[in-house]
Parts: sequence; C-alpha cells; structure tokens
Amino acid sequence: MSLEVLQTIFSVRNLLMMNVGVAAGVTIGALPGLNVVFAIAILLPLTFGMESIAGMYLMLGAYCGAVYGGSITAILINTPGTPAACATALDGYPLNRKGRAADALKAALVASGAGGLLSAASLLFFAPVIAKASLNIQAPEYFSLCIFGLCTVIGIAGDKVIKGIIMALLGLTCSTIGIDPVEGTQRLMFGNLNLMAGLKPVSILLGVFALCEILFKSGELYGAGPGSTVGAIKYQKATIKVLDILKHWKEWLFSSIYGIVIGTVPGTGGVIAAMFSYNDAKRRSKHPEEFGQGCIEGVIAPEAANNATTAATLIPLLTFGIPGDASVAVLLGALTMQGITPGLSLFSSEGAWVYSIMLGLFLINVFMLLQGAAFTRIFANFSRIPPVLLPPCIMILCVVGAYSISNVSFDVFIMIGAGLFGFIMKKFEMPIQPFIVGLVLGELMETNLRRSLVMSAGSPAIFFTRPVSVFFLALGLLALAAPLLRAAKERNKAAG
Amino acid sequence: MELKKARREFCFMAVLLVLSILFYTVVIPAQIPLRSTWGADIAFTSRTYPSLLAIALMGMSAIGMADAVRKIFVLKRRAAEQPRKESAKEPLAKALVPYAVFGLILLYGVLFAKIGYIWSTLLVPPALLAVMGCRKWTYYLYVYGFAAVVYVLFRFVLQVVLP
Repeated sequence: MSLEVLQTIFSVRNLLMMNVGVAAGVTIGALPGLNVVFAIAILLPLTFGMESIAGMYLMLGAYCGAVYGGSITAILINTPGTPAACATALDGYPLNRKGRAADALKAALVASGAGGLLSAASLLFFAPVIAKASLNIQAPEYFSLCIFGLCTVIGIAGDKVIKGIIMALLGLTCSTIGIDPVEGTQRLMFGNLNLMAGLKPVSILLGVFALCEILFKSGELYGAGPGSTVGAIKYQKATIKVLDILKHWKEWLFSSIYGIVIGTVPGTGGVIAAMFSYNDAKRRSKHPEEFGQGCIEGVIAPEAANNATTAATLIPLLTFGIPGDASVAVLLGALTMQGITPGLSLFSSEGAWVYSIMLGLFLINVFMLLQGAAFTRIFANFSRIPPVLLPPCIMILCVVGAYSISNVSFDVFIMIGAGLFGFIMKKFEMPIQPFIVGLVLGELMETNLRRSLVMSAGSPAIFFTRPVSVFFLALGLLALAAPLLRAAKERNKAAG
Repeated sequence: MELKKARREFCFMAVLLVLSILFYTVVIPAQIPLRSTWGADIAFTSRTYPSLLAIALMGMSAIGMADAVRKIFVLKRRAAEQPRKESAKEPLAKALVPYAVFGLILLYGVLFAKIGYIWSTLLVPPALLAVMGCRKWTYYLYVYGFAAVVYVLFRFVLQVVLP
C-alpha cells in the first residue's frame, strides 16, 4: 500500500494540483472580503472532471493557502484577507509601519507552514487511532455525534442561538428533499425528477457562499469607483532569518498545539485558534507591553494556530464524516460528488486513498512555504485587483460550475435560488454555517435516528441510556448553553 | 435603528412561523405519500422526520418572535429615555443594486440555458459591470478575457459540454 500511496502523491498531476490549489488559495485569501470557504467553493466545480485525489489536493491546497493568504493583506494594508488573520493584523501591521513588512510576512509564512506541518502530523497520527476506536460506535452514538456537531456550529454564532437553531433546522429540512433513504418514497419533490437525488450540496454551497457574496459586494461597490482600493504596495527585503524565527519555537509549538486541539472540535476553527493563541502568547511573554506595537511573536502565534487548524478539522471529517465548519462541509460535498463516503469504513475500505490525502497535506504545506518564499510579492499585488471586476467573474464561474455538476441547467437555478436565500438570510443576520452543516449532515442524522429507533423498538430513551451517546449530547448542550451563559454574564456585568 | 431591526426580526419570525405551519399542514401531507405497508406497523414513516423538523421550526420561530417582542419593549423604553437621533438613510439606488444584480444573474442563468454560454456571456457580464457603475472600458475586456479562459478550462481541459 505504501508504494501505491507514494506513487499517487508524487504523480505529476497531483503535484500540479497541490501547487495550483495553494496558489489559488493564497491569491483568494489575499483578496480582502473573500474568505477560505469562498476559495474552496469556487474551485469545487473544477474538481468534477478529476480523480477524487487530484480534486481533494486542489481544494486542500486552496484551504491551506487561503488561511495563510489572509495574513498578507493583514500585514500590508491592515485589512485581514480572511477573518482568521484578524489577530495577525494586530502586530503585523505595526511591524509594517516600522518598515519591517517583509520580516512580518516571512514570520507569518514560516509560522503558517510549521503549524500546518504539525497539524498534518497530528492528522496522520490521531485519525487512524480515532477511526479504530470509533468502530464500536453505533447508530445512537452517531446520531448524538451529529447533534453535537450541529450544536457546536450553532454555538459559534454567539448570542444568535435561536437564529442558529432555525438555520440548522432549515438545512435539515432541505436535506429531506428527494428519495427517502429508508422507504424509497418521493419526498417534497413537487413532481420534479431533477430532485430525485435531493438538493445537491455543491450547488447550494456555490449559491450561499459565492453568489451571495456578489450580491452583498455589489451594493458596496456601487458608486465606489472602478479602481482598486489599494495603492501600490511598498515592499522591502526581509532582514530576519528563518533561524531567528525558529528561536520563537515556544510560541510556534504552543500555538500549533492550541490550533490542533481547537480545530478538532467541530464548529470552532481558525478565528478562535488565532485569537486564543495570540492572547496566550501575550500572557506568557516576558514583554507583553510590546504586543500590539509590532512584535514578531504576535505574528507567529496566530499564524501558527490558524494554519494548525487546517488538517485538524479533517480528523472529524475523515473518521466520522462530520464536517466541523463550512470549509470542511464544502470538502465533504466534493467527496460526496466523487462517491466517497467519509466515516468509519473509509480507513478499511479506502486505506490508500486516506493515507494519500493525509501524507499529501505535508507536501501541500511544503509547497505553501516554497510558493510563499518565492512569490509573496506577487500574491500581495493580487490584493490590488479592482473589486468591481470580481462580481462578473464570480457570476460566470458560478453558473458554469453549477452547470457542470451534472450538465443540467436545473442546478444553475438551484444555485441562483440558494444565492438569493443566502442574501436574504444574511440581511436578517441569520448565520449560514448551521444551515450548511445541517444540509450535509441531514441524511446521516435521519438514517441513524431511524436505525436507533428500530433498535429500541421506538423508544427515544436509547439516546439517554448509552454512555457515549449521553456524553456527546451533554457536550452539545454545553456548546449551546455556553454563549447564552456568557451573554447573560455580560448583561449582568453591564447592569452593574 | 436597533428598534427597526427588532421589528424586522419580529416580521421575519412571524413569516417563518406561518411558512412552517403551512409546511406541516399542507406541504408534507401533499408531497410525502405514505406507504400503507410501512405506515401500518412502524411509527416512524417518511413523514415523521420532516414533521418533527417542521414542529421544531414552529417552536423556534415562536420563541424568536417572543424574543423580538422583548427586544422591541426594551428598546422602546430606552428610546423614550433618550433624545431621538435621525439615522442616515442609505441611498435608494445603492439599496436596489443587489436586486438589479440578482435580476441579471437570473437572466444570465436563463440565457445560458436558452442561447448558450458564448452569447449569454457576451451580453450579461458587461451589463453587470454597467449596473455597478463601471465606466472603464478596459475592465469590460478583462471580463471577456476571463470568460474565454473559463470556456477553454471547462470545455477543453475538464471536457464539460457547455450549452
């Protein structure tokens, strides 16, 4: 198997896909306003004609690249390309103001690469162990795990818990469209045979992330003028050596570990990991007063943490088939399109495939380091693309991409409808992530709910009498209650 | 502004409540047939899961409505204590742009299916740029260039037969 894995990874096409993915990801990540999910979603249609491994490399490259790419504009123009780079801007931009932009970029690159590599190692080590342990998990535990995944994504929406639950319920409802997975009856199809296989998550993802972005951006761009909002980027040569950056190994190591642990928990992600690591690095520092004034550790800590989440988020996806956040939900959508079902059996039935993906992540991070070292100046200039050019280009790519899912125009209209839905929901400040996770988890949840009820002769008590199931449900409840308790505490504090 | 937002939230939740009631009472019975052999001896049918979701949606939108009412009361009380401030209104043209853009995207989808990729791309993307107030002619060429790259990529590299 090992030879097969190595042959797969080192094939010219796969190496090319990794590099194209990283370059596209860094470029999109460096464009302010376009986030990691967008980077993966927009590349998704390109993977339909590819082998599943090549497609996954393309998207994983984009995933890792976009997380790093966000730091470029955070450092150069104080505008984080992605939300995960917000913490990087706190010290990255002051370093730029001191004339050390290239040093900050180099530190961000090395920290991102190192964080990503450690994260890939954790995936390689932990995923098979978790998969082995999870073989004992049955339908009730699986259902509770899905509930936990949904609750954490809802909990991340902060004090909008009610809205989060509503969006998750809407996502679950949409997942019921099509043929019933147990009885085989038609559900909510309104006589349209195109809906037989249900709503394709891919067209919905393109709509709610990419098309919805156009609708929002168009209002902002109107009357703003056609030119770029960013002036020519001044760039000096880096004076800091890699060894100088590696001297801060404690910040890198601790932040990477935080990133891995946080990334493994469904519903968290790079933003939380970066902020947590930044605060922790400040707390542990001998000179905390330098944080915020342009301190290299303030760049290393959040960058190592946010890139360390990338491979870690794949642990629940590959072992349980549970997407931790929207980015991984897009990856799950791509896998489903390729006929690959992540979960417990994947490690036994598609061992070579899984190991190719896990080992490929090491190479992706190495390519990210190499591309970053060679082309950061070019990537930085992508942030000067006039924003007005993006909506028509994204529209073309979305429509062609949605059509190429199964060569029917019906998917294009589903995508357009999803775009409008996403736009309206965003207007009403409804969080989109729970909707997406609900949509992709829906069938898994229903199937396991029905299996569990068959096992218990219809009694829902089965979910509360099995320890692992109770554990997951309790964790889910905690994830839901935490933001509410925090909000209540803040209200009490404000009231004095 | 906050008060307006809370009122909008109330309306949104009310609409959602009505829609979920309609979904439960009209759509599910009409669109999910029951198999007699299944429905007779097993409590969990094809309708059960969507019905449970609809009931949960009704409950959550009712809670959302109650929360919005609470917010309206709190904000009204606060507004009575503070002097009224005039909020800046968004220009109408700017507010309408996303809807015009949506109309163009829909038109692009229809034309894409009816007259094909090349002709629809020649017509709609420039209209989109114009709606957003772009007056630089070189940008129109950039968009056509991008469209050509997409065509080559999908048609010849990925072998997708575009209409």
